[in-house]
Amino acid sequence: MNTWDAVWAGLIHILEPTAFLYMMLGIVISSTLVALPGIGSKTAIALLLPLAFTLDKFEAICLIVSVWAVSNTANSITSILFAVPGGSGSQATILDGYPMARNGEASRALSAAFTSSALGGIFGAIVLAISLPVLKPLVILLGPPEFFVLILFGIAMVSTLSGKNKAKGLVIGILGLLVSSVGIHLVSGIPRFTFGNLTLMDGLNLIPVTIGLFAIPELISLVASGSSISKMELNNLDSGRRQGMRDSLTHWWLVIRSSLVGVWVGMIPGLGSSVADWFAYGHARATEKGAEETFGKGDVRGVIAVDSATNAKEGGSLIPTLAFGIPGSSTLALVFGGLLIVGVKPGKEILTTHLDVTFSFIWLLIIASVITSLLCIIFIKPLAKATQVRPTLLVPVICAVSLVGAFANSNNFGDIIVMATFGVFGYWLRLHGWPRPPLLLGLVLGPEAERHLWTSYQLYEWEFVLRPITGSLLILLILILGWPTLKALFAKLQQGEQV
Amino acid sequence: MQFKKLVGAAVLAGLFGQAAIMSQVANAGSHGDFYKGKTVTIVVRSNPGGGYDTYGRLIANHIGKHIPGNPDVIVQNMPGAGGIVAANYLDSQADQDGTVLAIFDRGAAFTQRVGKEGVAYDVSKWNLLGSATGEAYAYVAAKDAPFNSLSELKALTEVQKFSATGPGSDSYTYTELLQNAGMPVKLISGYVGTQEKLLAIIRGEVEGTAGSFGSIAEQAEAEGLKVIGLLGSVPSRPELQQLAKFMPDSQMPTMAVAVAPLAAGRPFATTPNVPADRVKILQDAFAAALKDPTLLAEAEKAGRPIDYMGPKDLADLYGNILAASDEVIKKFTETPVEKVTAKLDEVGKKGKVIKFQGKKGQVSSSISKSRTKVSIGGKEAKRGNLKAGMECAIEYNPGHEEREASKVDCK
Repeated sequence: MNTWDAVWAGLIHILEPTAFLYMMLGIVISSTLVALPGIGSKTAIALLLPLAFTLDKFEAICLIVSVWAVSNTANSITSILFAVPGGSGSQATILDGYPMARNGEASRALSAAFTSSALGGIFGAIVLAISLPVLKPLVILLGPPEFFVLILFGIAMVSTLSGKNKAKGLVIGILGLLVSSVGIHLVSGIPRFTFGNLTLMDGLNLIPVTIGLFAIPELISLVASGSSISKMELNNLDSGRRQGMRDSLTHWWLVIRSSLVGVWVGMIPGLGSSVADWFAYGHARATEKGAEETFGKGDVRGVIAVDSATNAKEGGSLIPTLAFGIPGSSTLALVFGGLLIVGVKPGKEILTTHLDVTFSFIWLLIIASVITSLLCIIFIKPLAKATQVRPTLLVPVICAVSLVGAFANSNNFGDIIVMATFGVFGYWLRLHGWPRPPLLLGLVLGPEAERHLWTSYQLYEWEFVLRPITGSLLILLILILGWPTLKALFAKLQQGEQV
Repeated sequence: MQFKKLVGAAVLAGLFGQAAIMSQVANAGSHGDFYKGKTVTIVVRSNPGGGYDTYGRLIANHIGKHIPGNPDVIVQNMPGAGGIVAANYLDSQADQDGTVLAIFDRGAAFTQRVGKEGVAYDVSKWNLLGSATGEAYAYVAAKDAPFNSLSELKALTEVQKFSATGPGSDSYTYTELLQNAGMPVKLISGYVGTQEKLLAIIRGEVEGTAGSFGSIAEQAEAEGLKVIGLLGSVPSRPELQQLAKFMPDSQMPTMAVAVAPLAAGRPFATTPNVPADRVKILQDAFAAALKDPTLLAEAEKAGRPIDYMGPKDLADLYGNILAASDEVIKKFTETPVEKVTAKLDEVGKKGKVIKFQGKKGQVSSSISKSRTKVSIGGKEAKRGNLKAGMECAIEYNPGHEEREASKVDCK
């Protein structure tokens, strides 16, 4: 099939009335479910699979692919409003989204999140379409040693996420790495810090820990202060919504860079799906003007960076799937498991004779993202009003949402205890002015860094640091980290010469 | 205020839900129509998506029709600790009245026998229903790997790297079996999922990997990789070599225990202490559901094979695993050892490396300062004291990259 024919055929297939209807169904079901903390698109797809038996090819594609494609939009809602992460991809949204809600800008934050989510989705799809001819070399360029060094770059972000007190940030970051080692060690199979407890064997789950660290302390302070989440009157719902959309567009360059980060994380199998939001946030914080002062206190750019990256990631994760016919994530494995029912297999076929299928995916990424964001934007007003409800009414609701979110993640009561423990710890940290994000960063990146380090060592022993890309990246990292010290040293030397 | 209404509605919905659950408990009827109006729960040992979940939901969608009283059937995902969480739940926490079923980990009996941390269940107490299908494992190699079959791999002396997940996973255990069969294989662990294992071959980091036939073979061959052998039978591929053929007799009991769970790849059971007539109802319904033409059609469309195994065969299978001797079980927990008695041809780097004649030619083996026990003339000695020409009994790990010795006992 000619490429341009395939582009049009892909579009026409999904615009057929019944197919389009199934796309809308997928969007509504997916958005409703992922808006609830702890429930992700995987559950939504698993629930919808029986329906796929009764559908024809493109109806099933529209239903299943749209559930997956839009799963990163609505999960920002609870992150922004209540500091309860809607999913593992929306942890970093809390960092600036929730302070915005506190400042009476819930409407603007939600609007910026949804708009940049749509833009990220479009960008991811375009990158995917452009890279179709060169998929393979892109995916096999990097191996475990390079993944390890790239993750070290991520861990180095601890300093940018620490705020004013770098030493405290470093301590918390190391604590995060330590906490991440709880569970059965993937490489050796040895249980660490599990004390024979089954919940701890799988390691600490990100969602209960995040809810504990961020939502619980907020709940406590809401009750203590007796005031609503928003400290100000919300007389800006309409203007906030417009402002949020404008924010995403005026910061288009940030959207593009963050989307690139997202696509890149999605494209590299082995980096893990929950690192994209942190990488994007860290990138924005390190490169945006004045970020040092305003990030973490309600800067809309923090929200824009995260939400464009998480949605762009999905387009990126299709790249290894299409290149090698091997689904790039467990969610994608489920998507293609469902599509097998209608005879669609990942791999060569949909890149050659059935190229229209691939383009229908790309169109769905674009169209479904935009429709989802528009739908979410419609609901911004009632959602934002929640930040003005008095705490006696709101706290029980957030409490319930937090408990369900922590539990639904793996139907495990132990996760509620994890949430409560980190809740108490999070409150203590907040009270004494310790930064909390570095702990999450350590928890997210620790296991990835460790497994890639050990795999690299098993493959090449310590010689892995001499591989060209690995070595160059390491030198770059050392230079970046050492730059302030080097600069000071040079300055001293020069002074010495002058005297 | 709108939000108040919402909160009110949520509270009301919660109360009604509670009332509904309580009325169900109160409705427990007589034996004949016990299941009428009941809800049967199928516990799935992993998250939504993937094989266990797919089979769990297939059965959930169709078994209700075949149980007298036609109960509603729902699925509850209970992931955790490689299936131990779900198994413990089935064993002692779930209602023992025949309303809770589970698709449990195929390795549950083995995990119990090995005595893994966290196991608080006893498979032999469960009321088994049967297995929905068997599984086979495939060994895959790179396009340009220096071997095209298991026999060629066995003939090699140079160590070949295989990507795997981690100890305790099926793919790791089944790759270790290559070592038990005397093949020069080194496991590289830390790869998560079929995709990462295959990409490691494509990137050239490793020469091979192993994975369940259904999920790995087709993808591998589409990418030009070679399927070099099998563990378990795949009727459509008789030309592929079976690993069992290469196992020395001494290793066969170990192999039998390791492979047994594959024959019952998707096992189902209900809790202990269910009345016998109800167990019979469930066993019959399970068998009937797997013959149901709508289920078979759905399974075929989803690319999931169905191959029923009855409860008696399943019980025998687990009985054998649980009865395995300590000696057999030990082989899974210990590193493989090759024992030879030979003259040291060469001692290098102040005793850090020795060379001697192994079974397949000269072997170079590393001596660790802390892990290798070195003795000369019956007395403990330092590795620096080893000299070329000494007659030594050497035990070393043939799968280790440097074939590290665990024991060197010289005269």
